[in-house]
Amino acid sequence: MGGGHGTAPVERRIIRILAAIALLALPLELLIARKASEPYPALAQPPFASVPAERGIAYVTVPDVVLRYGDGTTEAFSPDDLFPRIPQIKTALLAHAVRRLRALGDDDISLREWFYERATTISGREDVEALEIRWTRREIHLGTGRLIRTSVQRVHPVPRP
Amino acid sequence: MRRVIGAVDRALFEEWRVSAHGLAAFRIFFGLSALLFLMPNFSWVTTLPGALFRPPLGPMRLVRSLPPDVLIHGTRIALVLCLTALVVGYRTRVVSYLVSALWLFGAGLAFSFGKTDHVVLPAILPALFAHSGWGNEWSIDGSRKRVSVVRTWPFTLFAICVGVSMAYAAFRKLEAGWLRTDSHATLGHLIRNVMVHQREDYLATRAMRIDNRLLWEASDWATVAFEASLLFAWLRRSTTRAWACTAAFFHLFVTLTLNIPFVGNVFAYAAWLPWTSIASRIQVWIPRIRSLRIPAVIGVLALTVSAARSRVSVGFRWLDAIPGVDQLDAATFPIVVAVIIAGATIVHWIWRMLLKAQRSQRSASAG
Repeated sequence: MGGGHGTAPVERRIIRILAAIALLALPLELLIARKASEPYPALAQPPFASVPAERGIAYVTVPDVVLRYGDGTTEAFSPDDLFPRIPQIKTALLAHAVRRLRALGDDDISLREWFYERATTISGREDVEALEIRWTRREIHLGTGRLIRTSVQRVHPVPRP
Repeated sequence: MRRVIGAVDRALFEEWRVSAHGLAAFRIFFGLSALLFLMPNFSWVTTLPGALFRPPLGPMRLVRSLPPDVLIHGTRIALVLCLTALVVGYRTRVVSYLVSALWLFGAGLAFSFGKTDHVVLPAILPALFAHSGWGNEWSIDGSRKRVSVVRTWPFTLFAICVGVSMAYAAFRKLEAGWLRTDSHATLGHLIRNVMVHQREDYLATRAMRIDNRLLWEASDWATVAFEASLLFAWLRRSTTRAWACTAAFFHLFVTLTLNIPFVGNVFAYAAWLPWTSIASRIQVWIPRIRSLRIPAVIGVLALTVSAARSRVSVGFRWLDAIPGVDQLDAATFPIVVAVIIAGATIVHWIWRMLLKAQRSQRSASAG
């Protein structure tokens, strides 16, 4: 039966230091998360660090991909359509893609090319003229789950490469 | 100060007692759970454009671009092999570190696309237990006399790590205003999960309709209090176990309402089960269930078939290590059959290895 009585003093010291490091990781991680972003790897569980509800109303923002075709018609696709078979939260992936598009600018057009290739695949049409990512905010009454209002919050156009 | 150091020392070196067989039982349990249910799936990153690759803050930033497909699939296959080595107890100490490193790296690749999941607990567990002596018994190392001293401080160190990670979540919630009386953050997240992420299973939609502000606010406060509590509870074995029991119900509640199953965490908390008594029961059962070897293989075969039929999404994650397996459909039946046979063979091999190890153990003690 194993215990700690036989633990050598040097080993004890190392383990105490490891325990102290693990405990000190907490304020350090919180500081890094506040100043920059959540580090990885980190001793961290999901913070759900937002409060999407206030005064009886929940606010949710849903992105979708809107395509405009050559004949002037438009069609909207969900992030699930854009990223099939990806076991990640697709809205987070799409939001990340928008950030990457902004960061890359005109330096790297491969992502824009990828968006238009995907647009052709998911729509089944070759005449996709424009693509934009649209964020719609829904206001929902807590308790009843009734939709109070929807409004387009922002639109991010993805220019053709 | 001396009293604090004394309490910490007692928690680290005296609170937990476990036998070598107990540790071995936990090693096999954890290794099999990881192979069947917990192993991170990151092969899908090869289907995304490299321009989307942006690792999270930390050592993953050293990876400048998305690694080639062969390295990504190779990492996954290496993780499967290392976990298998962990189950059979081959070079257990080195393999424990390798499992943690490969797990963290592979998961890090998946988290380089805008969303960091929180699977760190099962990933770091093998490294923490590398020096515990969990490879001493029911293992190849044991049969070759490659054994080390049994150490119990990994149990406390792991409790500290879990406590810190849960407290991190609690403090971030505090900062975000979860305790504001008009926030109803739990309900807000529930609604967001149902309306945005289409997580409508189990009790999600029913829970969403519960119009009781007091209940939802109490749920916010209870969540924060519970998450912060292990930061103190790790000092005692009894309080750690009580916390783990509560955590199991907490995760069940989260699964039923928010549809977020923290299966990995629950398997990791299993570290604090009474493994010594579990192992002594297993030692009694082994000769009895030996005659059930063939039904056991058939049972595993049936399980594998059912997993393959459900497109290997529920369990048997190790199958994903084979590139392209997630694309399987009925037309690729021969591949499924080959995988089933391979899986059954491996299980049968592990079984024989365990029996052989126990036999050699017995003959050594008899000699």
